[in-house]
Amino acid sequence: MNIEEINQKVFQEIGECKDLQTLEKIRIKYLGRKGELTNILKSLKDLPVDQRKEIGPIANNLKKRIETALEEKRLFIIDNPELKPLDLSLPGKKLKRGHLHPFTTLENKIEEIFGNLGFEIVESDEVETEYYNFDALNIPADHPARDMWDTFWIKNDFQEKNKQKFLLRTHTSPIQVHYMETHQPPFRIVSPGRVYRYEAIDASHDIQFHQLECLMVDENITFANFKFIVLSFFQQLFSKKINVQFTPSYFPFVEPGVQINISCPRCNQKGCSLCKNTGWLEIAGAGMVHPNVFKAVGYNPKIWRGFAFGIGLERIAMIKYNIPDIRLFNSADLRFIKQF
Amino acid sequence: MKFSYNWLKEYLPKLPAVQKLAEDLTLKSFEVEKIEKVNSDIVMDINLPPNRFSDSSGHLGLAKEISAILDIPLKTPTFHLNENGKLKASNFLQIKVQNKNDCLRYSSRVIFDVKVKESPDWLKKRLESCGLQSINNIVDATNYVMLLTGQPLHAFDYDKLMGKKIKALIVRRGLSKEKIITLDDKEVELNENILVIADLKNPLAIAGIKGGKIAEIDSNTKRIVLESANFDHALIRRASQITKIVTDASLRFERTLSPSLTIDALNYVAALIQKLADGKILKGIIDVFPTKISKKVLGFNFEQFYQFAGFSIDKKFIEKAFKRLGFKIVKQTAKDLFLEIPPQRIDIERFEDLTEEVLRLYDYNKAPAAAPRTLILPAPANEDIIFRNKIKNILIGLGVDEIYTYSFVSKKDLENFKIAEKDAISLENPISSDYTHLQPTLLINLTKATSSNLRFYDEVRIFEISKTFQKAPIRPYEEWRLAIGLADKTQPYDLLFFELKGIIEQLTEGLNCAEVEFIDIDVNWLTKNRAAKIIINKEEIGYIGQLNSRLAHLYNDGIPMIVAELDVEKLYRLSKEEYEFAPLPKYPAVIRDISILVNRNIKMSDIVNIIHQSEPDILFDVDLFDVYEGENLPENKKSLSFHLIFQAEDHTLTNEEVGKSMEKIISNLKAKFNAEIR
Repeated sequence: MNIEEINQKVFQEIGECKDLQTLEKIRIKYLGRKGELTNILKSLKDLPVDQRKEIGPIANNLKKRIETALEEKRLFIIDNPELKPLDLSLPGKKLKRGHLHPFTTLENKIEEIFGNLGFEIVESDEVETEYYNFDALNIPADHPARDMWDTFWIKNDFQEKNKQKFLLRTHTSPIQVHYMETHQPPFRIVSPGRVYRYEAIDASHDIQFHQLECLMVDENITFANFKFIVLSFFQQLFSKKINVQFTPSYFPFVEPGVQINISCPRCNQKGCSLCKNTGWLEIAGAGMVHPNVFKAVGYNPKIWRGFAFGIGLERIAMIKYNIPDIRLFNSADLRFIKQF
Repeated sequence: MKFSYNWLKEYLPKLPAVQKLAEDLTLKSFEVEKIEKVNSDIVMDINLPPNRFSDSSGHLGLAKEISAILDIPLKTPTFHLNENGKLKASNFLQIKVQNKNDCLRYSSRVIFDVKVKESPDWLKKRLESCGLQSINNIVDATNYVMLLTGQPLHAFDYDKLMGKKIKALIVRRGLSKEKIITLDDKEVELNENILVIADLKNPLAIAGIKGGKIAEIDSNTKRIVLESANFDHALIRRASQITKIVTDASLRFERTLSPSLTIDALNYVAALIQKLADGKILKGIIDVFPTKISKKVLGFNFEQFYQFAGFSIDKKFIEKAFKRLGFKIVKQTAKDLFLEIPPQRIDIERFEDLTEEVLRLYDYNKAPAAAPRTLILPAPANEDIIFRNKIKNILIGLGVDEIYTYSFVSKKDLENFKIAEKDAISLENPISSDYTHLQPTLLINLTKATSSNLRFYDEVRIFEISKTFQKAPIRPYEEWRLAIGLADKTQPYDLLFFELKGIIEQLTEGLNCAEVEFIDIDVNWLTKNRAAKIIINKEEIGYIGQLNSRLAHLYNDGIPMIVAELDVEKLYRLSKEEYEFAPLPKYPAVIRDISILVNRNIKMSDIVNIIHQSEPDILFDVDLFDVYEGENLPENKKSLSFHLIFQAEDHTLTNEEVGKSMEKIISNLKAKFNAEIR
């Protein structure tokens, strides 16, 4: 190819080129080590002086123009890629993702709140002895308060006959007894776990559900502190606007014993089916730890004071996520779980 | 427990409307669970705590409580009791209590010449409001006074008692083989755990629970004996459980009543019977009360109260609150009050009980909230919970949904899975035949959950982390386990096995465990040749496999299901907290591909082992990228293709070095597996 031919072809090729690979091929074809123009430039030195003077500047000038055109084209390709238009309304690629059970999500949230308040999470076994589930909590045998917890009893057919009767724990309070037996105050703990009740299953009662109990013991714990922690917890869990109400209640392991109600988060106390138009929801049992509970674990009740409160996690999930039926939690029904 | 609004109003002239009353009661005393109209009366159903039956299970007691919390005046009912001057009760009746711990007090009166008839309307209505049926004026009077005072009462027909001039009532334990026919004509077998009231020959009543037929009040009854007694609460509770009889009386006694209640109730009922049945009350009360109760005086220190409450309440308010409750201030200093507690308030035993009284009368909701004045240190993390959450988060990332199920299985399930019933922990009182045992494995409920979901989904991928329960010599042994189950109607289940295997490999890698191995095993509930134990660091942590066809048909309409069950605690121990950095390779890797044709029954893992053994030095990794059987291949043969990755730590590999290695590998594969290189 002579210079004129190059001049005619190269710019057309550059103009038609659409991607960087082709552009590079064009560069190599003309300006590469054995490129067409390179060859001409190399051959200049063999030409007579007058021809060299004539062709030299033209060839060099062409080289510059090609380099400029290549560079411009390169920038053009980078800046203006030619893409086929996409139908962006087509669905995204289905990637597999599982769902956490709503209960797990709630438990994580609650444990995070208590973690921020400085509470340690403690667990223990679901099969308990009568002592830890009742006696150590100031609920001796033949105490009518035992009727407050309908109990599943374990058949005693173990190799070694036990003096203690085994049962499925009816509340998470035994966890606290185990903890207190092995730790000295001051401390603050929360004990989540599965509990069991022998009762008829319906939309608001199940034989198996989860509780979480919080216990704080220190020298100077007051009833006002107790209110503070309760209030902080429920406001963090629901919203700052939640009101908390205490009404008298009876649990043998606390004195005074109270029931905690929260203002209905669904209707803001305007009245709805959730709160049965009362504006309040029963949400926790609580109180200042009974001196007999401290005595049972060897603490001096004259020195240590504390408070405890227990919540039913399914009930909170039902309120928080608007779940109408407690039986859904243990149903393993993916139509339910996949919503979370 | 039901309370009549009209009745309360008799003693509380300033009683507010029922709605307001119910709110105040709930806020300061007891929860009012229901309000309903009964005829012209309004009835409140009140959830009375067990320790307040002694003072508040009667209308008068509740009226006192209301008077205290609302600070309104109480009008105590009056009655006129005329004793017949000539005849002394003790000349006609003797009471013998065999064991003073069984019966703390037995107070009795005798009334002659009663006329048994229908009760007047006002009495019938009161009983009806509280859910009791009218029987006759005598029995109704005893029930009415129980509803008034909380003290259960009983009347016997004096003439039906054994004996001539002086008759006797004996409080004793039942004898074995002894029987009693109760007022509702039921025969109850007695034993030494049941307390009875007997004459010299026969048991006449199950003490504190139910009267008997023998000494029943009937229309011909002329002379009666009234019982106002106090029985040991635990004994009554046990007897009520044994006989399965629960009555208004037994409910009160088993919650503990104060022995101080008997006399007033006895006098009320005697006066009422005199009025309703024209009886002549014999002179004197026969009162067996061996262990008198002493006055209960408690100290209340204001400073101690403020420390407990965390805020202060006006001293005047506190003093007045105690007075309103009927707690008599017997001594007072600047710092302390000494209070005499009314005997029926058996719930008040210590300082904390007094603080409850002050706080609730003040209103808990008026108490301020204050942050604890202690240092809040960051709580130590619970590694077990964090670890379980880590597993959950990895699994949902791999497309598996989390489920929760019951911890129970049925006897039938155990049979189906061929687990011996004696090896599982059974319940003494199962709620139904579906839930008779605690689950020894998560697999049973996982299978059921898969089955129920397959009704709505073609693909089910689920996991659960929960406890299993095993028998152990001393106490049940609990173990956290993870179960994963996959079922998919849309793809061949051979692939599904490898999907679950992949999930487990991803999971263990995500948990930073050493490499997992899968070694064939035989398990009852899994398909032969499609079951493996899962091993990390030579420790078995669980199994994976295809549910056997029998179980798949029993539970899943034959749809194959791949399952795995892993021990979470072992997994936790085997997962490393720390990561260790290995230096990045300094010299480039060389990759060669190799495809071999071998017999179908040769395991891939054996081939990979031989490859590694052939070149222990510079072979860095072997990576299977294709398996093929079928068309264009001889029968019983499969083709496997691997990437072989060579790399040295100290130099760039030459073609020659790699070539030599490849030769060694190929000749070994030929020798060991008769492999054909393609």
